[in-house]
Amino acid sequence: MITPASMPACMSCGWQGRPRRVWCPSCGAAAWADAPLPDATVLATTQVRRHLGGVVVPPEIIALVITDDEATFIARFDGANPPKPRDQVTLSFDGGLVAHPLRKSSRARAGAKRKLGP
Amino acid sequence: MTVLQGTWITGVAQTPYTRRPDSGLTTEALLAQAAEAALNEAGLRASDIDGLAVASFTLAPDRAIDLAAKLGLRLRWIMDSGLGGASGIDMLQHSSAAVRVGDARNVLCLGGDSFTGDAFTRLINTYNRSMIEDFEGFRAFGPNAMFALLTTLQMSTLGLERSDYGALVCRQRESAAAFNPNAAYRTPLALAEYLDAPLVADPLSILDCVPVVSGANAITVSTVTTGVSPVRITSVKASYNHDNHLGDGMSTGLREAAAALWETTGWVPADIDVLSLYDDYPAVVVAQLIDAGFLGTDNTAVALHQLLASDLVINSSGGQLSAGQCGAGAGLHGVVDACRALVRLGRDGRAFVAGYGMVVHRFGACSNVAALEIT
Repeated sequence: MITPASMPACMSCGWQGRPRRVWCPSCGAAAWADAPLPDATVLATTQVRRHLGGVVVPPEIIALVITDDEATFIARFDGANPPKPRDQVTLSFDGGLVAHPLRKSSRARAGAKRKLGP
Repeated sequence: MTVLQGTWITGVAQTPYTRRPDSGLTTEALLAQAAEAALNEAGLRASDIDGLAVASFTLAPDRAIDLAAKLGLRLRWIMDSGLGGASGIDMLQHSSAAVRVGDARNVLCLGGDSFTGDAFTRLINTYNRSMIEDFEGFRAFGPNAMFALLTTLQMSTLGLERSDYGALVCRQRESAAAFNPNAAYRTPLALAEYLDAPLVADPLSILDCVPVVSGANAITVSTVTTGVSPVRITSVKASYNHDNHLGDGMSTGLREAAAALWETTGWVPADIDVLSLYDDYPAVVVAQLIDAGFLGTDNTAVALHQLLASDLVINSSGGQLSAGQCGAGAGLHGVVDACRALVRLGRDGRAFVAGYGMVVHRFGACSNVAALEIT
């Protein structure tokens, strides 16, 4: 049983992702289990200031993040100021992915795996 | 490898696009208006139509068969396309195959939507199950946010600046003023105005986000060259769910679809006279230009400006950024634009028309492309 607070993981190969799948895109298996959400690295951020004809106050900070498995996800950011590219975040799920600042992790010191723009 | 032989777009039509339609404007009325105009251009009567394809978000709960009944069409072939901005070329692909094998003689393809009241808000918030399950907790998530992220990433990766996207938007606005009386926005736009426009989602301003309109497009597809300016359907290719929702949007399915199209037709980008790309956001145009081989990833800004200064006809309707996005009717917008631009050439010409659609969970899950020519 997959709970809303999880990012399902394939019970056969461990592939993890959202949106939720029926067949694993990696191995084709169809059995899933709850798994902890991975950490991620910020690729890009935006602040949404207008939405569906209205002004968004305060602007909603949304980030494109990438995991060590090179899967990208869109998450709303839990913080007052937008994170910067290459910043490390932890993820939770609350009506969608939420990115939280992560400080001084070993992965942050090692740097992001993916080459980012200048 | 197949090349479609002897299938033609014989009539095209587009209704005016309106930002704030009358509350009584129905989707079926818009589709009927476009259908009647396309039939007239093709020199066909409704009784000549034996195939119908329909793409619409707001026709629901009706489907193509319900519209067929309301239009009094007796059919041998029918389809609903659910591919949004890729629906036009989806319908073109299937209808051209249908007439080629004799399943229908004349197919009417329709796409359009009327967004009255809160119809657009409801569409965005309940677009699909992923939207409901994965974005319910966001306050302001939608395509604008998604493509703001892509634009930011594209700018940093390719060295593009807002003025580079602005050059594209301003050139398209010039085209809208010159060629498209149906466009929602036709006043020429200066780069300074573009750069000063209010932000929607950094770095996108209101001039980078396609305006929602109500309107419809129609084409007729036949094996017989009726009408005054039939356009040959040379090849149609598609790529769906190309990255399984794991990518960052920098590349689209057009990379695969265009490669197949070039191989099938033997054409190269330099052979193209008319380029119609899906332009809900400028970054999507840039991504398609790269995926189709019109631009590279080195010196992209310089190459983009050179392309915009060339004789290549690009989104001559003004694109959706000027004309507006009429829901699923946007899928046929580029097809209609390309056919009209080919006729305006006044000589033999070739068009490359790309569809891009269904931002299912992240970036467009559907890409397709048509090669059209007029002789």
